[in-house]
Amino acid sequence: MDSDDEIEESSTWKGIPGTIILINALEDSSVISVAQEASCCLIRQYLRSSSSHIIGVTVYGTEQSKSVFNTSNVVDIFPLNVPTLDGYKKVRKANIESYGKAKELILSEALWHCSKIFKNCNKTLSSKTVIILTQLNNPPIEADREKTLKRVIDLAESYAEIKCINISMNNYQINPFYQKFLIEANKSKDYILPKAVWDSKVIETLMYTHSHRHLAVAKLCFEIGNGLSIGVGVYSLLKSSSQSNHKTSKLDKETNEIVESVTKTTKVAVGSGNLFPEDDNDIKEFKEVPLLKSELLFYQEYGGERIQFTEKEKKAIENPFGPPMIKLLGFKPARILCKEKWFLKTSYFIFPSESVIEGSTIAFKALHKACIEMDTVAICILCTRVNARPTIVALVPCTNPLDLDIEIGFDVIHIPFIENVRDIPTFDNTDQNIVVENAHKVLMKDILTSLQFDYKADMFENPKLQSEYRALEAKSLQEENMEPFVDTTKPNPEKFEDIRDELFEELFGPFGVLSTKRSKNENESCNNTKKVKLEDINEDELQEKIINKTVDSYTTNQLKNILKNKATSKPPAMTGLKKSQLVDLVYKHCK
Amino acid sequence: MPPKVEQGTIIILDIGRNTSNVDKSGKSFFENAIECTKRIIERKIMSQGNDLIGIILFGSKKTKNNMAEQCPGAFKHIELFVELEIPSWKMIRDLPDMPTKSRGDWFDALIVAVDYFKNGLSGIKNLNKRIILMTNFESPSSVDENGFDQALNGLKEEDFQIDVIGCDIHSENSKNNDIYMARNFVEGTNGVTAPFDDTMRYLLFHKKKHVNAMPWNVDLCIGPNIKIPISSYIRLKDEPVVKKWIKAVRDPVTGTASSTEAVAKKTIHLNAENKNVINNELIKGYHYGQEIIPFFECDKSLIYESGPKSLIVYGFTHSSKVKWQNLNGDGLSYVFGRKGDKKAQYAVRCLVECLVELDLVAIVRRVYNNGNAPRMFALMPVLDSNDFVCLSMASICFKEEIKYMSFPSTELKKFACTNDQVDAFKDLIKAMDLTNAYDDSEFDDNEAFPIAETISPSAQYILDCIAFRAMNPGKPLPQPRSDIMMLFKVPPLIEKRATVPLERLKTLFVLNKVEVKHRIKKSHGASVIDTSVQAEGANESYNDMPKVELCIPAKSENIQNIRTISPVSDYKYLLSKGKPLNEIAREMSSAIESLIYSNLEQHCSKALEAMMFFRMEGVKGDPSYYNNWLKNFKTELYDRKRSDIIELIKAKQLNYIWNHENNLSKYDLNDPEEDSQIYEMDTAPSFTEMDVSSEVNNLFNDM
Repeated sequence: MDSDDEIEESSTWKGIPGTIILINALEDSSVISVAQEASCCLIRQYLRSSSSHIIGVTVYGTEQSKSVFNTSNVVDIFPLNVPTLDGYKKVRKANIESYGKAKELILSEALWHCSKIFKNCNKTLSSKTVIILTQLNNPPIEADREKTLKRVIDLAESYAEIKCINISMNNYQINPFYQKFLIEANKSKDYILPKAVWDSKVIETLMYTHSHRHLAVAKLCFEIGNGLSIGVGVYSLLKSSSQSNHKTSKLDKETNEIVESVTKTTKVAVGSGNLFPEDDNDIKEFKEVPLLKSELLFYQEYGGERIQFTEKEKKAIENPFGPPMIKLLGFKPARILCKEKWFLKTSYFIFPSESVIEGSTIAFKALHKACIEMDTVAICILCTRVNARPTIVALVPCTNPLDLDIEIGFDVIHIPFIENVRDIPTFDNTDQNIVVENAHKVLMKDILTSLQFDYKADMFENPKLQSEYRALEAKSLQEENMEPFVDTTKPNPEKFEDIRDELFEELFGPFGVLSTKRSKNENESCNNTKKVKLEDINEDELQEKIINKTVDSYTTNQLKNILKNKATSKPPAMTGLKKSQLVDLVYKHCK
Repeated sequence: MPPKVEQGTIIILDIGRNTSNVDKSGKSFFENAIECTKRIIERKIMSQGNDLIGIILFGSKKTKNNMAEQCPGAFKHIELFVELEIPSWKMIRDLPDMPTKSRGDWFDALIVAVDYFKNGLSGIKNLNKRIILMTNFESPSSVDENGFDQALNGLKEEDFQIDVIGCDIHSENSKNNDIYMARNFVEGTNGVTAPFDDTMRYLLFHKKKHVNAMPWNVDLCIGPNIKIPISSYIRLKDEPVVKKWIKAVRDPVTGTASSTEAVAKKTIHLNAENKNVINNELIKGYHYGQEIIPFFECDKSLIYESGPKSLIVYGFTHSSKVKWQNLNGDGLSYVFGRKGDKKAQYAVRCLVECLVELDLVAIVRRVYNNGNAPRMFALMPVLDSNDFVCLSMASICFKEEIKYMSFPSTELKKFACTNDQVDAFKDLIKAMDLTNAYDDSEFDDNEAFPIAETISPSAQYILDCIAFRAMNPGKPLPQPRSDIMMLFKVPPLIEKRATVPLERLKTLFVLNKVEVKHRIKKSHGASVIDTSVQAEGANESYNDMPKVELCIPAKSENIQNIRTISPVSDYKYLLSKGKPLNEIAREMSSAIESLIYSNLEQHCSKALEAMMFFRMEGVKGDPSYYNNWLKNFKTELYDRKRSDIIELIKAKQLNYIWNHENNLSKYDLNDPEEDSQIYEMDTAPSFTEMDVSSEVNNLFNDM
């Protein structure tokens, strides 16, 4: 295999990814509308994340020709550029059918068009992707086939990826031409025929997957033993929750323009009073002098003293253990790793990297298979970056992580150090001898099974983000048929209708603390007095007092209890009511 | 409010004449005791707890204690050296550096310590009272049987803990009555005892930082009516080793933090006119694509309301559905029924047992505080006879957090691995079993790197450096201790066992390290390049690692066509194998094209070298392959606006093969219309179908 292209792939640290979506205008209108819908969703996805990813939408096989290079039978709906609101609206409103259908399919022109767009792009591209949305049953005309393949080779040679998304309701025989096409697109490697897809959401995800830039956290030589290493890439399959927050900027209220924030570090003479002035006015009283980096010291307070380090020393002590590395220490049985006990932080994922060491994939697969069959995990020491703290990790073999189309890999589990464990205060009754009664278990299990569902990685959407997106889109896109907002984090209340909660309360309750605000003791004493006082309340006396309108001689607690226990009609909530209000309630509800 | 003190420790240190004798290890008892005391204090400082330390010296020249003041003449040579206080570096620095000529009575010192705890302290309550006695008992005490019994009963009553360090008080052959008494003190007060080397091994690493456990209290809701009061405590968290570093200005004279100057930091916001905009004139704007939408323009009714602080069950799912990959967040909390509420504890316990029996976990929606954005969590049962019976809570991912990465397929034929290869790895797995890493005698437990019991090398090193700097200001920092570096090493026994399986693995796989080629850095985007250079530089150090180059088939035998790696040698090789020249020429030209288009090298040296060779072959033989190709190639270069390459071709004299070089060529150097021949499309060779688009023509017209 040609190792050069792999190097190119691995060293693309700079630039932005570029994707051209090609929609086949010769397909049925239903296929076209699915393709159009999916493209819109993809652009919206990029708009929402304010990604720098550039994207273009082009239709081929049209009767008309409207494109930057006047390529025949090609219409650019949105030329390769950073996605904009206008672009989104154009793609949304475009009537692809109105461009007409070409008499014959000449695919080579469309691909040549893509080559030219990439060549003329004035931005540095970290990756180039062409996604073709089509069915794979109609090949280009005979005369164009050789040319098309040549163009495919050209694109592949210039490190562009070509992906076909097979839009179809059902499976069918894929035309042999497209098999050749895929072979060339994959640089004569093996290929896999794309499965038929119809749901525009699935297509959007497929395109998003294809066009997504993924940079490895690190590419490392995984040292299995002295003289034996395999190349691996370390990835994060998930963004951290803070990363997925909506990008915001500070704006000037007057002009709505972005302000540039500059943080200045200066040294000031310590006069009387405030050492670290925060107010802008205060700071002017001090003479400000720019601070040189060499003048900066860092300190920690320990044992009542300031322990000082220079910036260089501070950096050096963070990691004296050398360059990034991953090294095998040994193996342990898989059962030792319980996620309910040892989850420390989001796992990484490793995948073989031929660009580091050729032949890694085979060794990686053999190790993967051996670990699964022996039910073991590999224990390694991992340091992903020069400045990262080394950690002990367990490599757990996995397939299809997060239900993604990833055939093989290892979850990289961070194993907690002793420093990461906090002590839990001992409980007064960590009594091991509590025996849970069977009747209680039967009820509990009933509840659990009636609320059972199948968890999927992508079933919960961040409701805060989603509603923010909709708020922004309502304003900026002014779409009439906005996607309705569904809060996926809240369970459907209907599911809980059949729960026997009264029986639960009877068997398990009452719990001492029902409100989180009150402390336990208050409540317990409350409960006790309630019972005592309740016995004191004489039914006749109560009736008498109601008649005489002297109910206010009761205490608030007594009044509450009266309302709870003697009310003839259901009283409203009583929390936070004043005594006079309670008295009124008694007159109203206890007759 | 003063911090809650949990433990008060008084170290009673024997510095008398009897401690100066050097033992087998070449150190005196005095030296060992001081070293041990230093380490105890240092660990207390570094753990930043609220424990107090005091020091009493006996055998001191001075007599300074409360008892001696009350009974003049008694309790001599006992000095209350440091009162109970927060441990400091000063305590360590002030420790005596040599033994005295005096002798003291250890029992009297003990009484002084107890008296100090009882009468010398004010305002401290609920203290765990601990006394560490460091003496070799070579200076006998004058206490009698009666006094001893009285003291022991008193200590038991007052909940003291007496530890004895540095003397083997369980030794059978010791007939020393003092040791017998000491043993009774230790056993009677549930104290501990150990010789110095064991103690130092125990004190080898820094203690973890002291954290007060704070519960997060809420009701666990199942449906609208079931509300179980729970408390959740953080169990695991990856925290920074030290607090945020504080900045200070270096004083040019002393080299330490200046007392007259301080670092000030301020953030200013500049608008387009470079004018400062003050904070309350700023508003938040959301990015949407390239546009910024001011927050207030959005429909407020669409802003999400998270609701009050809550923990609501979404449902229950099979435990296998929640995998490691689904967990996204920071750490793990343990959830118990609310403290003091037996019913809630019972309900949680029942829930835990039922979850275990049905193999389910709960998925819950958590709002940490009123109005905070909600997150989803998995509540998993923890049922462990040694540990806790509770639920553990870890955050699971939202859809928006999934990166949807794609990876190349590995299910291809060329990546198939054989059973032999898998079996070889299985042998390695068997050999490298970490649960059985040490000989039985060596450690209590045979497991290496036990989970949550292994220390973090970087945390330990940072604390080491701080402690070192505190005691040795101005000196360069030490390298990590070997005790810390142990963590990076395969246990020796495992390493030995793995040798044979490793050798076998080496014979079964062909693994070739890909040499990292340094691309010439461009001036722009320097910051981005920096990181890559760092990463490459880091990899570089691995290059000296011995490469596995076993049973690699001689490469040249497999060459079927010209590749971009070494086109020139491939060309020669294929030619010698009798491949038709037209095929070789076509492959050669496409190799050159891909080298140039791929931009792999800034100066295209490999491509130009290949062209030079290709051209020379043409000069010697048939020039038409080169010339015809070059004509098309140039057209394409114009199309791709790669005039830089065209210039290079001219500069390196790689233009057409002229007919004075080879008379088969139809190109004449003296023909000024050379370039115009490009447009004679009918002369294009059949193997490259090339249409020149109209813009290309336009482009040339403009030139």
